[in-house]
Amino acid sequence: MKTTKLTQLGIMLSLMLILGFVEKQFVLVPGVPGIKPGLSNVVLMYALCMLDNKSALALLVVKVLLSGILFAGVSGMAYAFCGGILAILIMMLLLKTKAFGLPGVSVSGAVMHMLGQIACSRLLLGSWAAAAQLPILLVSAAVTGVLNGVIASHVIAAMKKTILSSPSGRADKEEKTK
Amino acid sequence: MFKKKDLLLFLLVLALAGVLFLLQYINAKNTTVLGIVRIWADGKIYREAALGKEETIVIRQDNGCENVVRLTENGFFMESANCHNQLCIGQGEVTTENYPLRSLGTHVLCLPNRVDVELVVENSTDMDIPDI
Repeated sequence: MKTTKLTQLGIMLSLMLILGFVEKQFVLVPGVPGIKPGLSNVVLMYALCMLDNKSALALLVVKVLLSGILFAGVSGMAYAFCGGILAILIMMLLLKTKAFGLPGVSVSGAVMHMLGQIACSRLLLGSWAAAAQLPILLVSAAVTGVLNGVIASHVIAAMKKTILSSPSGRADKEEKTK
Repeated sequence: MFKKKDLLLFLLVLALAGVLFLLQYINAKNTTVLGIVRIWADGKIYREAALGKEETIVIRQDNGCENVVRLTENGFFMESANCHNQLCIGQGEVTTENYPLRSLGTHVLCLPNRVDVELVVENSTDMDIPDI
């Protein structure tokens, strides 16, 4: 089990890093910096639903650190951390209450991510200038949030089926029963 | 997969965005341009320049960050920057006419270099947001 989980986390971490890297290569909406699909949140939601909160939190922290070292620099790390922590906390909370489906969880996460980054910009820039972008960032959080939630639902449903029918899934169960 | 509450939340966020945009737009329409461009670097005022004549301002900071702002007849834009994401250049020009509809309003921001260039308008400090 330990090796399986370690491997899983490694694959998920590299998935998050590569998704984040690809998103950095283009500007989704010209003239509006900071709008990204946030696809790595699909991986994070998968971790929250299929593994546990601790693993998901570990994934987030290591992803932010590595992505900062590899691509974004120190300030990028600070922004990603402020947004990421708020997002994962609200998603954990909402998943626990079961009030929302994954699209709702994902939208809440996206909104909190954005608010965290605006708060971070207040600290680093010394002004609320970035808050002027709130309306368009809210729209993008709603749209990308729903899309990511739908993708995550499909991925999780498909993975549940695969795990149940795969040899490794059976191995997991055998190990547990020992 | 979709619950009713998910859709409700989605619509609520969109509605909030719409209301905020309207408030911002009305607020911006009620401001007047003071003819000053204020440049912030590292949270402090770096320089103020008069609007109206073409000029190129280089913002050089001790930490090696360098941004070049170009003042035009009735506005300004970021001409170049040595930051990693170059988003400030993609933000385009702020002019005395287009700022109520720009997503960043009167600002051009370079977050990695902590540079904020602002078209100063009256009421711009009367934002209803509490200071941290």
